[in-house]
Amino acid sequence: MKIPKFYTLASLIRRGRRLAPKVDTVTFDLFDTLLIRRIHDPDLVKLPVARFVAELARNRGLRWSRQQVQRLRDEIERRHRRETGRRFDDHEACYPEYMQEMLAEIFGDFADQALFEQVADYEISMENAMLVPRGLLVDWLRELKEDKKKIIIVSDIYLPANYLWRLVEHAGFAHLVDDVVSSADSFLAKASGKAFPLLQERFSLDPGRWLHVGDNPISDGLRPLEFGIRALVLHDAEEKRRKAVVRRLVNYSRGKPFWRGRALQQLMLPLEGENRDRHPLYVEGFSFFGPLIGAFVQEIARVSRERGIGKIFFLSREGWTFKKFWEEAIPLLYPDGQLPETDYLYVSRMALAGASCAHRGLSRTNADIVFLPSGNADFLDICRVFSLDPQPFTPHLARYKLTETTVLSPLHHGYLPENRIRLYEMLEDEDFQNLVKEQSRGANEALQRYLEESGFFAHRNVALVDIGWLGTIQRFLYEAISHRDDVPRCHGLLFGTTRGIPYPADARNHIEGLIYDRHRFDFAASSLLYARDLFEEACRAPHPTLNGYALKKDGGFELIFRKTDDEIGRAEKNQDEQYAPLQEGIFAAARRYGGASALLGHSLADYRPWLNHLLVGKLAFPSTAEILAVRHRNHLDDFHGAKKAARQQAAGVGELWSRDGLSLRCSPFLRLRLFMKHMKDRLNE
Amino acid sequence: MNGAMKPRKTMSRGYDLASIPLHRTGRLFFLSRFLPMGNMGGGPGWRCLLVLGIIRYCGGILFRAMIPFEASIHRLYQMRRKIGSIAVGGNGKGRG
Repeated sequence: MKIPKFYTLASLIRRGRRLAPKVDTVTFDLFDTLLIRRIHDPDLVKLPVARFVAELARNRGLRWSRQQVQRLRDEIERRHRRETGRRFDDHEACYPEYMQEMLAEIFGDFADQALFEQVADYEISMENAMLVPRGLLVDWLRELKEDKKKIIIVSDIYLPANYLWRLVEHAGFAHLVDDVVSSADSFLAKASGKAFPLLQERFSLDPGRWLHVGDNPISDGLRPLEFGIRALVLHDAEEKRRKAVVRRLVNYSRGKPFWRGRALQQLMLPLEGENRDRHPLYVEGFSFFGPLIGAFVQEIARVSRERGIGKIFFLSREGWTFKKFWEEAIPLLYPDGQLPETDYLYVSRMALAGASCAHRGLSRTNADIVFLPSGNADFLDICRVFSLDPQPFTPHLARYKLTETTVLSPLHHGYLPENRIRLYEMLEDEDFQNLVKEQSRGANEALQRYLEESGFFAHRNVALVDIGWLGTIQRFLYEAISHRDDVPRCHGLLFGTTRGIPYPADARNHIEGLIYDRHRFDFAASSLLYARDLFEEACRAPHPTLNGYALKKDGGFELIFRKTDDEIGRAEKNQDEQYAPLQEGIFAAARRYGGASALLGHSLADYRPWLNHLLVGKLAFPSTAEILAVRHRNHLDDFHGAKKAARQQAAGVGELWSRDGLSLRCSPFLRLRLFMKHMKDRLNE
Repeated sequence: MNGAMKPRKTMSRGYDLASIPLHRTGRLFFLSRFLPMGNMGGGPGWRCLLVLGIIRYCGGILFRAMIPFEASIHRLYQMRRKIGSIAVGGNGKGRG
């Protein structure tokens, strides 16, 4: 009997359309026909479930490894199939039956219906994360539905029909289907051909007016033909090719760590109808920023669980993107729900600087931080950064032979080192510091009330998540509250740390860079320094920056945001518009990251070689077109004053991302030269 | 929208990342032979790059040409694995 095989989906559908007028009913196989998996091997979807069950067991004090759980599941499933094989022609198994037996064996008295539902829900959500409907087939389904054909999905699988409905609903074509039939409910499968008489009886079908479509030459080809049903078998060459790529990437990643991140990205990639034309910035957001942010938030979750962190505060404004990413990706990675609370905290360097001096006064290091950017030059800049009124300080300045405009930065004309020494002497003056504290008190009080309301002091360990780079925000925040007895241990988890000024770390307050940390020599990851502003703008929340905290008359507090109707506000809005597709790409990647990473079971350490490759390739050796398309147009930094420095700070490798197109194209060995310079700078650090 | 800003797909036709395709990985790996680039976990390896490159750039034609003979090719492949396994003293089972 010749089985009609089709090597492309288009040719199968063409034939199906020709046959359609001759049939009333079309039955479809589900897996590898209507739905395809992102992963080449369907059994790999079971691994995160085994990990989840092992985690649940550990939470109840039971010692089960992922491998033991998986082995037990396989054993019980095999036994169920053998037992079914004694009563029926097909060796089928039913998911709820063998899973409940497995859970009873692992959990004993703890195993109940709720536990099974929890595990089954996770398995279905993992399946949903990996399944994609085939666009052309769904279009054909729609046509068949319009032609009033009866459409039934029939599958040989361990999942009963009610679970298959959930997959079909998630795929978005449940409204086109009349019924779903699974061999797990009847143990009559397509493989033996017994499913077809069952369908005929249940739906009163005429085999002569019945078409079956599937991918297995026996179950979906030979068996229906034997029963007198027309059959079309899909043997899709392109699908085989796609799976060959995935299989090799996953297999290579077992032996070569480099491919782990690449395999992750392969599983994240959009398939079928998902893969449509997008804005180039969307593509960069999805393929470059997405995996980096994903690995970052996954590591935050791992560290938080390990250290018993009670609450994670994502700091504005970049924390907005990290938090949104977290909410999409982390539930699939940690389905047991043993995760800290999360919150978004409105902070900024400018707002916290003002509040940080109320108890400790203005320290020498904090004054030095002001003069790091070349736009700051004098005492007025200190007052601007720390929200101080300069007028009352005039007598103090005069006492130390300084004025408000005495140049205090070595980058500006008129700088005399003795003036800087006089500033430091003034910082040791008690009267001066009392005035600083007095002016900062209101902002500090308001900040503390805001933190109290956010539950900041209700936990012993909190994580502060920010993009980087010096840890100034956490430094100012901690200084503002360190006088309190109930201040929690602050774990600063930053995307990258450059540590230009040493961070005053102690047992209760420290920072670490998860993707890049200057204290942990990682040359490839240091490519991040090529375009730090790019990451800030890509992750920035679409709300204005915070200018400060103020006390209200009723004793409450208010957050004072920067106005948006001036030139800088308009520039930010313009920047938001430019990066809207990029952020859309990042959030699209978040949904995929959770499923893909849960399936592979890897962590940041595993992905690091590939992420390093991404950072070097994209930031140190980007194409000119990439730089021109991706770089931001505006970058607001209120901390940076408006004064023009006489001596510019060394441009560094950041120069690459600010050059014009002509120089990027024509300057000989530009990227190579800058990379060598970058290497020299890192080695000299 | 200039040339660089033309809409494109996230996944290219060879099931590759449009944003950082395989040839770019190869180019960077080649460069890393002469220039230290940091921790890349040992790099991708030439053999892996070659196999993926064949599937990426010639896979369309190869898979379409071979798919009608898939069953026969699979049998040959199994036979080769079995012979290879016997040659190294195994029983031909349990090899992944």
